[in-house]
Amino acid sequence: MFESVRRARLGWRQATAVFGAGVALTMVATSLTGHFAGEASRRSQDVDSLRLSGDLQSVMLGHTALLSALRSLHRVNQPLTRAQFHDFVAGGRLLEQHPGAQALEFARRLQAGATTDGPTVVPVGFGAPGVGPPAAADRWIVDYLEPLQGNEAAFGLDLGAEPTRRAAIEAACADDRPYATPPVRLVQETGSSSGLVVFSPLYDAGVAPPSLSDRMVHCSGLMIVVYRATDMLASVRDHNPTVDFEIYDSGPIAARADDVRPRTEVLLFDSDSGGRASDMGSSRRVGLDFHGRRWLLVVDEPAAPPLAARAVGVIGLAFSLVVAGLVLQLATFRRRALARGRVAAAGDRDRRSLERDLHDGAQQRLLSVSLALHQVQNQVDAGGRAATMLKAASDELSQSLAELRELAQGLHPAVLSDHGLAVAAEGLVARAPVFVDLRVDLSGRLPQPVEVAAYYVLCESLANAAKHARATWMQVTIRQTQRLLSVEVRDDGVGLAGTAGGTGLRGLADRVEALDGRFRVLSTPGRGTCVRAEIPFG
Amino acid sequence: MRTSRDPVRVVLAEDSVLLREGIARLLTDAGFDVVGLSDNAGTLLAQIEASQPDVAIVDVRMPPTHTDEGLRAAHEIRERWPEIGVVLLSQYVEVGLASRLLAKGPNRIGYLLKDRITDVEEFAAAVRRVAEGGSSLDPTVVTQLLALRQASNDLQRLTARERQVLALMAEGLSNQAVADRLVVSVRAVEKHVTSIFDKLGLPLTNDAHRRVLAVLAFIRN
Repeated sequence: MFESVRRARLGWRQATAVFGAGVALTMVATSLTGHFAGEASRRSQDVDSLRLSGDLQSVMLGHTALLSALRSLHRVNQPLTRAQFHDFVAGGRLLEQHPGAQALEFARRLQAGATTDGPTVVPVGFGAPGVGPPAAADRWIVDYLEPLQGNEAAFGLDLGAEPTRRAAIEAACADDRPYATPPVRLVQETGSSSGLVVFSPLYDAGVAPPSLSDRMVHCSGLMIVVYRATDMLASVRDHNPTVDFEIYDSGPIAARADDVRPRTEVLLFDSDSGGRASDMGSSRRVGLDFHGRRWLLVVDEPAAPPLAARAVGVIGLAFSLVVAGLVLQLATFRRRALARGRVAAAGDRDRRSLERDLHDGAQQRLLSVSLALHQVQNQVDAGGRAATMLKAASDELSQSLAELRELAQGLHPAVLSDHGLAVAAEGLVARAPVFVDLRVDLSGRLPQPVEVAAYYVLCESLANAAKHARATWMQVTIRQTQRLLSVEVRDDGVGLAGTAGGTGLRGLADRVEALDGRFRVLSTPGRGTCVRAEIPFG
Repeated sequence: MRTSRDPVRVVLAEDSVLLREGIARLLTDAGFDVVGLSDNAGTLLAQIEASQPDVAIVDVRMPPTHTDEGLRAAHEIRERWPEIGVVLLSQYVEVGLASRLLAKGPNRIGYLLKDRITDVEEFAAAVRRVAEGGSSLDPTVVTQLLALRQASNDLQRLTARERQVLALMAEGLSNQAVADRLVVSVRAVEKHVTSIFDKLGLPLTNDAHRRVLAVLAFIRN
């Protein structure tokens, strides 16, 4: 029984055949049962939810980075000026890079009872402009604002006057981390989109004090990002145009564990602008945390097409995906093997030219130097010191010449390019440690890459047979048919399974296949190995 | 016709100028008459035709392709002027080439590694041998040729010394030369040769030259 270590070389034709069979199978499966359709649909919904939540999380990560940048800005510039704030935001094009961010703001805290000293704008509360908050409460005045245009209404606003915002601000100060509001109506909003405001706390000393009470006292300001929910989440919808989903805010995270009241879910975003109500019974629901808020991603089940059609679609899609993947993998595999083969061929050319430089350049020069030395030797007193030195020098030179020859031969088999495969094969066989029965039937020279590949097949196989397979007999057959060179090396060794011969064989396969040839190794433990390469030419 | 006193007449084809001049000088110093120098096969053949030398010394790699021009020229020389000896010089020696050269008869042929020219006396002797109808194979090639016959039981029966003598004979050396190389008496060499021929089942002859031929014939199967 032969174990075949054959290199699959499936072309597009085979892959297409596999694909066709797959499609036929799909049809049969579809007509048999509609059950798979529902199952596959649910799976595809799961996949959609995973992808959507992944997209959503990457959007959130981007915004977290924005907040960190703003906080660092404050940390390195104390006191922070309006000009610095403007330069930072405009210079870094921060708003352009964060879709949905309407405004970046800096708010200053006015402790209860303190008077306004910095800004000239009189802080106003929500609701009735011009009416200040009770002096007994802290006020959070929006001092710097980018961009000013379009956001004028928020400038000078006292954020503390609005209970939702005040709750988020206090949570942020207490925990020293950003907190988001539930969906709110932004003062600058002119459409119907919900807004979100994320507050990041800043402290007097630059870092947050360790105790909670100190943090509440020493929180001196806020970095704020204002979002328009529709714009912020539009990219998620754009990445998943075929999926219908909604995003809800379902309250603060911290309150969740012990709060048993039914939670209100406020719609933040709806991918379907038509506003179709989601059917909770057949939806996938995924929870996500956004700066202290629990968001809920609801992926709706698509409207059901006729069962059979749906099944064909889903299963057919699955099949074509698998087949496409297979074809792609094969193509990649083959491309890589070809690339390796080409790299090897390029290396061959380089080594050949180096071998020539050594043989025809360096070696010839050394030889003529050696001859010159001998001329001098003849003219000095044979027994003298000079003669001894000359003799030592020329011996040294002979040694160098021998080493140089070895080196050049190791780089590239000159005999192969000079005299062809038949002559080179005889040399290989003569140097093999065991008896080799050599049979060559070649009518002349073959293209250089073909000869080189065949030569390396011989080298490697002879070496493997002697080294790993412990062969005592080998047979090499080199034959040339019309447009095909075939090289076969057989031995009577223990077989190559599990030996170190594998990596070399892989390289040979690459070389042969780069020339559109076929490479095969048949090996059975205890019953010898047969390596065969067939390379087309012409 | 050349008498044994006349200097051996040589043409030399070698494309490296330095080497060509160097070899020509050493041959002249060694008493050869260098009658033609060339750097390619075409000129070489023309010079041979014109001057009919005793021996041609030919570099295997020559322009234009620097692969086997010299070898082809050698085949042509042996074809057209069988009485002219050819010594091929190469940067490397290969058993596959040697067996092809010997296949057309081991007479008047030499195949040497270029490095051998630095041992002036041996090189001169080798060229002289070929000029006189003998052969001269590089020791490296002889080793490889013998390796090809390694499996034959005949060779296994030889003693280490006998194998040494066989190798030197295969290089083309006479009994006297073998004796000089091994620093033994000619008588001792003759004894080894008789034993070798006996063990290998080769016809014994007193002609040293024919012995070499027999050995080479045996080696290349």
